Amino acid sequence: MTRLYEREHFVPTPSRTTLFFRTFAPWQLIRFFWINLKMIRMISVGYHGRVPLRPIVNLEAEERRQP
Amino acid sequence: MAHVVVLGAGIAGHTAALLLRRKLPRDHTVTVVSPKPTYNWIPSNIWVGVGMMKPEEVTFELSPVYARHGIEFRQAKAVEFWPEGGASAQSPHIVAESTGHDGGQRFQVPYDYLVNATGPRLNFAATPGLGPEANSLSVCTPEHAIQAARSLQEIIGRLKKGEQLTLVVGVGHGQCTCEGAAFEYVFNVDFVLRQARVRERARLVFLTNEAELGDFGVGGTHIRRGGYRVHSKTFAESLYAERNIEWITGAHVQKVEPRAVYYETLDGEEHELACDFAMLLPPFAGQPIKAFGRGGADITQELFTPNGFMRVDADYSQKPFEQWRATDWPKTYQSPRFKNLFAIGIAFAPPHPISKPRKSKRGTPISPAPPRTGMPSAVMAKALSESLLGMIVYDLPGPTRTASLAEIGASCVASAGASWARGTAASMTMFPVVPDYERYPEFGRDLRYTFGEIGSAGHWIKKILHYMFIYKARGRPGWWLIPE
Repeated sequence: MTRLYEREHFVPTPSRTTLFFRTFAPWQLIRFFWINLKMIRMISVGYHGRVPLRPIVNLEAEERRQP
Repeated sequence: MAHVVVLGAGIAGHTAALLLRRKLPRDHTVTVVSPKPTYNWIPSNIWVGVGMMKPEEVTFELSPVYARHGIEFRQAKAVEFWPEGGASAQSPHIVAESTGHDGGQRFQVPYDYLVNATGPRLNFAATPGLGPEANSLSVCTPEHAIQAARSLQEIIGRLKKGEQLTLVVGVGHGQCTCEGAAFEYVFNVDFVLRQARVRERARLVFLTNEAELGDFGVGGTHIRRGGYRVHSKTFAESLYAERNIEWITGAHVQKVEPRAVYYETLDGEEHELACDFAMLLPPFAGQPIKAFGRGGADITQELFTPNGFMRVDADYSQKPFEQWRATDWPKTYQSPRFKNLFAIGIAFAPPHPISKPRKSKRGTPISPAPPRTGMPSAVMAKALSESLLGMIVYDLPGPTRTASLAEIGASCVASAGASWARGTAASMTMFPVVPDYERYPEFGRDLRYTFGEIGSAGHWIKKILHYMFIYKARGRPGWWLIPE
């Protein structure tokens, strides 16, 4: 039971329906594929799509630094 | 012919070594120097720590894997760097100390390129009484996790006899990192206690250095949910309240005694928490490696920060939180002093924390250190292996790939109970890891790629990822097809 006027009293807690769907296998199977898709999308954008393919070093600056 | 030496065989070092060996032509050599003979998939240590997974399921011998892939393996720990060579050897080399059968013997390993992926030193000494050899438990290594599981079973036995006990889970110092691992452990303990039908007799307390729950060392994150953009604090607090786990935030553990934890909070107050079980993660430090110039001069301070992490291409200038920028974070992980020296994973020195730094009213720093484990470590390893390929094979003058934490995202699946039918886990992604308020002024992150939800699907993903990543780490056929 939530303790009145204690910190936990002001925190949103899930309804019975929400709790049910968290472990309801058919719904979770759909979520399984959806979460995987979202993760793959983030990985593809976050890594391969954003790395530069040219050298990071400034070649002219490097040459100037050479004695 | 180039000789690449990788120090450490954790997620970063092992990934880098396997990828380098796969990509480099065979006339180049790859050597791994690591003090342990086994690989440990650390994210699953949580399940070993509650007795739901056997230690052999999270570890395997490295030698057969490296032998199969043509990687030389030396079981030793690096103790000295000689990046300019020294009196005994003119070329760059490290001095390592054997931890195998001929323990203690020192030898030199020459290199053309050195990858420092030594991981953390578990700094239990930072807090009196902290650690498995003193008064608290840990799940940082398989051995620690086995010990934690045994202690938990004893606690369950006492609870079944009708005792009322207090269990504390969290971090053992004000500047710890890996709050996510403590989060996973407390919810797995809760799950195991419920399965044993003794939960109502146990008081479960989460003790953290985060100013708010859901910070995780990355300042928390906002996600879209129910028509709102909500901070992770709301979801984290909801989960703790739902599972009846008490939480103490902004805490620095001062000392741990056999049946009590003493801590200070951000308001400057000192507290004592009596407990019967304490799993408190230690703060991390870098490995104690010394570095020397050609003439034997000590250059450790040039290469490493005072806490032992290696300086790379980050902006280490001291500046206040308001002036922190995404561009402060390293991109290529190359040492500014030596172009053939790199540090990835926990071994590199972050320019500053990600979460806002805070001090208690007594002046004690209490805020999480930045996490750089798991997926980001592996992504750094992949980027570095491609950079080294360019430098070695295509003779490029510098690194060609980047993996700045301010430019890459991360996925995290945090277990909250291990069971196919009733277990759950919080699945989260964030992009980027380090908030970039110039690109994303409102929340610092792109909310299209930042989300989180809890359910059985998360547990299934975590369990499948466990087997996939062990398969990948074993270097089985097609291992490189599995993403980092």
